[in-house]
Amino acid sequence: MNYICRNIRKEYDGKEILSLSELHLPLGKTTVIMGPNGAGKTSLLRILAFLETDYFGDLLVAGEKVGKTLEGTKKFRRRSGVIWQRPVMYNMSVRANVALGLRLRRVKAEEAEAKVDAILAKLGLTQLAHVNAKRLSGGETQKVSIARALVVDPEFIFVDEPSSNLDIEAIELMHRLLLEEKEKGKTIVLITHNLAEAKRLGDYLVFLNQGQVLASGELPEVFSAPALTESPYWRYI
Amino acid sequence: MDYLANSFSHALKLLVAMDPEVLEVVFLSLKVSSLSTLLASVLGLPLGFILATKRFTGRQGIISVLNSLLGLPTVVAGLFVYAFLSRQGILGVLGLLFTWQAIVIGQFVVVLPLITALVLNAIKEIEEGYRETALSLGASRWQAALLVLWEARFAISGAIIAGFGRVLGEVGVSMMLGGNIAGSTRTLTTAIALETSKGDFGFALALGLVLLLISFIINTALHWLRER
Repeated sequence: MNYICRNIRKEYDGKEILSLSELHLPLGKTTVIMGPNGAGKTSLLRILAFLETDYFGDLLVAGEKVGKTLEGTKKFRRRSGVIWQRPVMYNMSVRANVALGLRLRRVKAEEAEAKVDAILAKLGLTQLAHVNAKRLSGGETQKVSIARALVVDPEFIFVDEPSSNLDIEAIELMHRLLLEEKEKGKTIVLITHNLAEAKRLGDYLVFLNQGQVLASGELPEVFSAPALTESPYWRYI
Repeated sequence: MDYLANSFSHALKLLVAMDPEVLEVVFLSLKVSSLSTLLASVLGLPLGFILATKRFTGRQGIISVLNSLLGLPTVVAGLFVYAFLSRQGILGVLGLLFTWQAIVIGQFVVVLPLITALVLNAIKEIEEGYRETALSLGASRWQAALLVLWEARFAISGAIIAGFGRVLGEVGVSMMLGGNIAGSTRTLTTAIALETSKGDFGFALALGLVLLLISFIINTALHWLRER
């Protein structure tokens, strides 16, 4: 079963920033998106994460077409969690921020409490539970954003350069969590510039350049694909 | 110097004794300004939100008009509303001219652009990130909008308080549409102007002190909200 992107095209200010003919992402696996700055990685992630409605082409999740309205994508968004590169925290406590996804899904209070407690403990955030999330350091904020995305037990996890705000210890913790989620059969899509991270977490690689797929396929085989090794970007990798 | 000192002592006496005439003017001012601010908030809040979040033809035009109206002199606003409410005006039959309700309408015209523009700016600043985060957390369109509003709550409260401060201190609309009638349409600012010209500086000063105190409270509240 695959997550298929068919003839996806995205324009911004009249300029085409993404143009993909067909892309098959394996469900239950981790797909890594790599590419130079401005390649369209985050634009693709936003489309894949069901957050974009203004694009051409179709998304098919296990054969089911994704709608192009916010109501149409809601069903899929409720099965997803997104970890942003620069997470936005609401002006409320860490606990309330983490519980937001559960409240939006109208999960019963006691059940939500237990889930929030568990994920806060897992990420070592219990001590910060009652601190206003806006007063946290960059690393703490990123940890809260990981907790906030994972607390809803999403089927799809979208991650945009997560390690940029984290120290080595926190990166290790995040890697372990993502590997744990993969073990559970979750579909993960991850943007990274870090080759070691891509190799450790990824099963499948999509390499983007100027809005187009330069190479895609199973890891590590794709790293020997001529389209990649003979491109000027090989040196970059 | 004696004149000033005597006036000041007279003003304090009036305030301490809770002079009924002073209280009447203060309460009327608070009533009309609160009502006009409330009505402008009811319309300005959704208008500001829509202008900040939706893209539609004519949006930029509306924003330009709003921004131009921010500097609208209150006498000019009074003049426009006067044209509608005067006996020859299309709303003349309602007989609202020189009533406190007319002041509310005039102040509404003055404060609506201010509240709308402040709400627009507050939401525009945060909308993109907070809306997208809400959607990524599984919010519906309405839930995402509510979360953005919640996040802008202090800035929105600030906009409403700033609007209240603007109309409480205005004199043009109150004078032109209220007519400064004792016991009926005399507000803090029009009474200050009248009593000063009559030579009752003590009474004017007492009202001035009340206005200053309210301004101080408003500014403290605004400062507190900005720090949030």
